Formats: sequence, C-alpha cells, structure tokens
Amino acid sequence: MLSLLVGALVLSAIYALVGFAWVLLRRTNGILNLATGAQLALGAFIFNQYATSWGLPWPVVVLGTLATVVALGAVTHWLIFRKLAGQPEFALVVATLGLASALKGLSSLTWGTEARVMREPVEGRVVELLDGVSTTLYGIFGLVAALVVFAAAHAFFRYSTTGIRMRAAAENSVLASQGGIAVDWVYVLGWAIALTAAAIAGIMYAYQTTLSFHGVDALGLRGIAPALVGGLTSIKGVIPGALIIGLAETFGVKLFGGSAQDVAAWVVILVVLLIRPQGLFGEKQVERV
Amino acid sequence: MNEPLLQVRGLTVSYGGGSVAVDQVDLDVHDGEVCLVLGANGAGKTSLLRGIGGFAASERGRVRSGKVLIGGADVTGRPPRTMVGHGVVLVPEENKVFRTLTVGENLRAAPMTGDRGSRRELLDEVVSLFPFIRERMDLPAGQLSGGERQLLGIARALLLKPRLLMVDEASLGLSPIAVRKVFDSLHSLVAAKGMTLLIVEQNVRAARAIADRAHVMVSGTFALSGPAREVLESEQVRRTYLGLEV
Repeated sequence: MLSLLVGALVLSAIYALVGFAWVLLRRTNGILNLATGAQLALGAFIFNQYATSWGLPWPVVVLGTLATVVALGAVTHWLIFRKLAGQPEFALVVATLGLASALKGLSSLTWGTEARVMREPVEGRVVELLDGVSTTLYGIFGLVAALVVFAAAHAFFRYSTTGIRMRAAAENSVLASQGGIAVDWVYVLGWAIALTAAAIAGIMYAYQTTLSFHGVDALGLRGIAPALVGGLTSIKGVIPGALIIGLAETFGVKLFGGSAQDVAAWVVILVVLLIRPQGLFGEKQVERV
Repeated sequence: MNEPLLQVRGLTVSYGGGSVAVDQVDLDVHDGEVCLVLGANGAGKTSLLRGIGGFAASERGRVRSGKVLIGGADVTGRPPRTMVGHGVVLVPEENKVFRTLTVGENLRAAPMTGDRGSRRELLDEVVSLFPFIRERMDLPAGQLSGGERQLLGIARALLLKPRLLMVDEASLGLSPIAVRKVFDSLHSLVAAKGMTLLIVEQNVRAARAIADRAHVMVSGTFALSGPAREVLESEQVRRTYLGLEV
C-alpha cells in the first residue's frame, strides 16, 4: 500500500509539471495548447539526442536542452501564434492541433518510432525509502523538480516585476501594450517556461519507462486533467489535480490492469466537466461595481 | 509659436470590414496645452485617440491614411508600446487597470525608465498626487471604486513619463463627486507639471475648467474647433452637439 502511495506521489509530480505547462500557456498566452503532449515528447527526444546519441557531458546536455526548448518556444510564438493574434480561440486551438501533428511527423522522421532507453547520469537507480518501499532516483528527482518549479513559479509571479507584467498581459493584453509592456516577449517567456516544465516532465517519465513519442505524448494529453481540476488557469489548483490523477491512475492500474492507465485520467476529466466545468479550484474574482 | 508636440494630418481610422470611424482629421496639440475633444457616442472620439496611440496586434482597427507626428517624428500606425516609447500614453475608456492585480502591482507593472533612485522618486511623486493609493496598495484593483480606478489608471500612465497624456472619457460611469475628484487631479497635474493633455470627454462641465482648446467631433470629423471657451460657450455647440439648454 505504501509502495503504491509513493508510486502515486511520484507520478503526481510528473502530472503536476505537465498540468503546469497546460495552465501556464492557457493563463499567460490564452492558448489551450493541444500540442503539449508532442512538446513533452520533443523535449525528451532533444535531451536524449544530446545525452545518448551524442554522449555530451551532463552540464552541456542540461543547458543545451534548456536552450533548445526555450528557442523552440520563441520560434513557436513568432512564427505561428503572433500571426494569429486577435483570431478566435477556435483558430488557436486548431493551430496547436496542427503543431502537434507537425512535431509528431518531425520526431518520426528524425528519431524513428521505436522506443529508446536513455543514457543514465548515475548508477543504481532504485532507492529504498523504507523496508519494502522503494522508488527510482528519477522519481525523487521528479518530485524535487516539481516542488522547485511550483515554488519558483509562485515567487516569480508574485514578487518579480516580469512575473507581474506576465499576469498583467494575461489579464488584458491590449491594456498591457498601452502601458508599455512588451507583450510579445511576455508570450515568448510563457512558451519558454511552459516548454521547459514540459521537457522536465517528459524526461522524468521517459527515465521511469522508456522514451517513445507515443507514450510521452499520451502522458502530455492526459496532463490536461490536473489542469482542468484546477480550472485551467489556477497554477496552485494543479497540485491537488495532479494528486487526484496520480492516485486514480496508480490504483486504477493496480485494480484493473495496465489498460486503466489511459482511462483513469479521462474519467477524472469527464467527472470534473460534469460536476464543475470551471474546475474544482477555478479562481473567483471579487469585483466592486 | 513653436512646432506642435502632436501633429495629426488627414488621419483616417477604419475597422475590420472597412467602416471608417475617423475621416481625414487634422489636429495640433502644443506643449503644455490641454486639448478637449467633445462629441456624442459613436462620433469617433475614441477611435481618434486609438489612431494616434496605436492599435495592438490583436485589435482590428488600423490607420488607413494620414500622418501622426510627435515632436516632428513620424509615428503613424506604430503599436501602443512603441508610442509609449515616444511619450504618448493613453488611459483608455474602459478597463483602465489590471483588476486582478493589486494596486501596488498595477504600478509595478509599468515599465519605468531611469535608475533605481529616479524610479523610486517618480513613484513617490505619483503616489503623493493620489494619496488613496498608499492606503490601498495591497487591494486588488478590481475592488476599487470607479473614480479610484480612473485615478490609478492615470497614476500608472504618469509613471511612463508621458510627453502627451491622452485620457478617454475620464468621467464615464462616475458619480459627480468622483468626476470632480478626477478632474481636480487632472487640473493639479496641468498646474504642477505643465502636462500636455488630449482628453476625450462628454461631460462638458467637468472638462471646461481645464481645456485650452476644444474640438467637436461629428461622424468622424471635426465640425467645430477653436479656443475652449469659445467652442464650449457657442450656442450652436450647446444646442446641437451637447444637448445643453441655452
């Protein structure tokens, strides 16, 4: 039982990172990004290219992956979504769908479709926490990464001037522009942060399973569940959402077998949509008239 | 007389399918002058300010023809952020503040220029102009009264060190007391800082105390222009355009 709970917690950390990527883009850039799964996979494949295929030193692998996903975020905004400014949300969603297909094709052409095992930075990946309760080193790293990302995001949006400007642009991009805020750079930063969180989640997941586009892509799509639980715009709402999905998936697989993995998250999504479409933790604004 | 700070020549602004909101408008605003644009709803006043201050990429409006010069530099059709860099700052008609941000965060969101010391100094100066701000720093701006939101919007604009401050319908939706507070503040700004203002307003009584020049806008063009006192006292204006009793 305790082992299952630890497993659920580790999985929740990954879902939290994926949900964060969904929510950040929705909140900052106003985009429901259906390419999140493909971008998760792309981040992991880029990491694998540097780490396994080219065998680069680990600091270069980390910095190289970070620089590449940030650059991809900037390119995504400038080449696609900047040109769609002012278009209805439907057009943006369709664009993300097209982007997902393009990334899938690119990945397939570049890296093929077979699952890969990534080069590991350390030996001895299993860590015994208690008697009979163990997890992987990557599971622990995923937990730490999720904690760091959420703490950093909280501090960034609450206390930094750039974070405050991102919140301002998210609320009203026209007023932000009239107020001298560089809205395009805010959007680029939104893509960069979201893709970085997505890449970390994709890499952690690939280390705990194998690296396949399909597997990581599916994880990314299921990651909309914690985002939905949080109301799609609440970053803090992602955490309980991720815990719910992590527990549902872990215990679902235990009770009903591997096929429950894909089903659990979507069942939670349906239940949330039916009971409270705005999400369990959707933020309410109090306004004086 | 020196070259005007703002020169608008033959400005035409249109939206989406081509409907013209501003048609061949000429306008000069000199340094330290308060220029008032009056007119009924739909006359094109807001579109004039937007044509000068620029449209964001997500908006459908655009400058179809004409020129906008600031200090002699051609800035026609530039986006709002670039116009801020040229010293042209607009306080829009609606949504003047970021409602989910606190009052303090609204001020911090303004990209102020200069070193840390001068930014601090300017912030203190602006806060001293609008004392309510200090007491409400941690309150979400959406919870401010309409008049306070208006003043916060103006305060944020002042942090951008505008050469030309454009205020769209400062009195819209405000109580008479709030309107007086807002215009008293604008009056103080003009008196203390020699601020150049271009204001769009329907509340003639409120605007009359501070305006130097006035233009009456009808169907996208200026129907009448001149010194504010003459324009606002004109029987024709009072009866035809402003619906006031003569």
